Amino acid sequence: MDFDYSGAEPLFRQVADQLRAGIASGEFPEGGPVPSTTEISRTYAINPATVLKGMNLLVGEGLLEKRRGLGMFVVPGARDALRERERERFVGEGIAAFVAEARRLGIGRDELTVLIEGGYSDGIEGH
Amino acid sequence: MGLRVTDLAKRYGRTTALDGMSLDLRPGVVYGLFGRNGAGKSTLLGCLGNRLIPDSGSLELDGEPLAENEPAMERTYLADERLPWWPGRSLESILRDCGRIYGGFDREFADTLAERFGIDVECPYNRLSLGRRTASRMAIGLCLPVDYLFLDEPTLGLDPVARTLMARSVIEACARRSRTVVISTHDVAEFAGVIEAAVVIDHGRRLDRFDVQDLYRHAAVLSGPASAVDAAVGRLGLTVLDRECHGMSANVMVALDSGADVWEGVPDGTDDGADDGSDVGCDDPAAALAARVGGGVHVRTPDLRTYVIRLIQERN
Repeated sequence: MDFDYSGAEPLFRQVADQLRAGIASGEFPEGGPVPSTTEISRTYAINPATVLKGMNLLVGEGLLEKRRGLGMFVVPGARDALRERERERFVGEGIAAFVAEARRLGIGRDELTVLIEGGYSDGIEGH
Repeated sequence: MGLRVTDLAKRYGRTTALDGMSLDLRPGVVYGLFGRNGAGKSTLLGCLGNRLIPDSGSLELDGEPLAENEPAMERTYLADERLPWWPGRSLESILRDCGRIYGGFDREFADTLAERFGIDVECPYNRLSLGRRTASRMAIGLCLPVDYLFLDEPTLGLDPVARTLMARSVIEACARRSRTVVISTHDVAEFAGVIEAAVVIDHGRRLDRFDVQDLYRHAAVLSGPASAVDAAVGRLGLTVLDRECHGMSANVMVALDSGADVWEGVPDGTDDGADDGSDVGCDDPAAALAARVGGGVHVRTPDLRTYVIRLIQERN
């Protein structure tokens, strides 16, 4: 984990983002524990209430569950759920922003299609 | 429960240091106390820590007056620029004293802190460097078994590494023993992750207080052509906290939770869907505001340091 302490992005959101990234990458496997509030708080010098606020965001999203006395665990299926959400975001906002940026730079539909196909054949595919 | 400060006033001759200061401090919360030199930070902490007697107003700890109340006063401690022991003594002999006087003194943590800040515990206090003298005084405070700890300028003379270590040490001290900590500092960014709530004071009065993690829905900065920014501020009825103008462009900092009609028609982003009126009822106010300010105006959330500086600059 890596935090921007002096930025405008609230730290609790950064905690949530980093945990989401850890779940998505498999660093925190489904059914397994995530680091405790105290551990994150001490390691990164973040107020424990802030860490908890970030974790509770993920509980609300159904990605983490609290097991009494044991701490927070990754819900089975969380990785797929995150991936699905990322796909939705990419198909929705991602593509729209991408096309808008291409338009702004004067890249037309045909040229963009050729560029995308070129990107795939350059070995981006499969990653 | 908590420490309640009501209408506190303190004058030094013709200088008013505190001018009707009111504040509630909750148990177990770490506060940042921010303000310019002379704003009244040290005077406030002096009153809270029983070093100064206020001219008027009251201090209550869990509903009981703090003044001349020995059991209540023992639950508080102020670590400031003064060492409340003879300065020729070594930290080792002071720590031994603390262990004897206070039952729950955390000697183990004191040793950790001494090592962390490179303090030679056998060296007389007054022969230590400025930074290590500060670290020594703060270490004593962080290890005392008090419920309300006040740290006045805990990074005075500390090098950049030691500043980070001091922030970390506050978190650790609270993990070892829950307590309220009020940190008066100019190192806003250094403590941004440590503090839960911020109190900003100016001219002996409280200017603002907010939960640090809620700053994103407490204030926003609008920038762009001055005419467009000012028009948006006027149309949306926003409260201006600070306005900077450079030629044709302006940066205007506004309050978001002041009851303006910014959120009309904005879907509630919180999951309970209830509009309890305690917040703006929107999870991304900067984005919601951006959709309403009109073309050419950029909206962003200020970081804590920027917010505090802009709030307290040039208000004379």
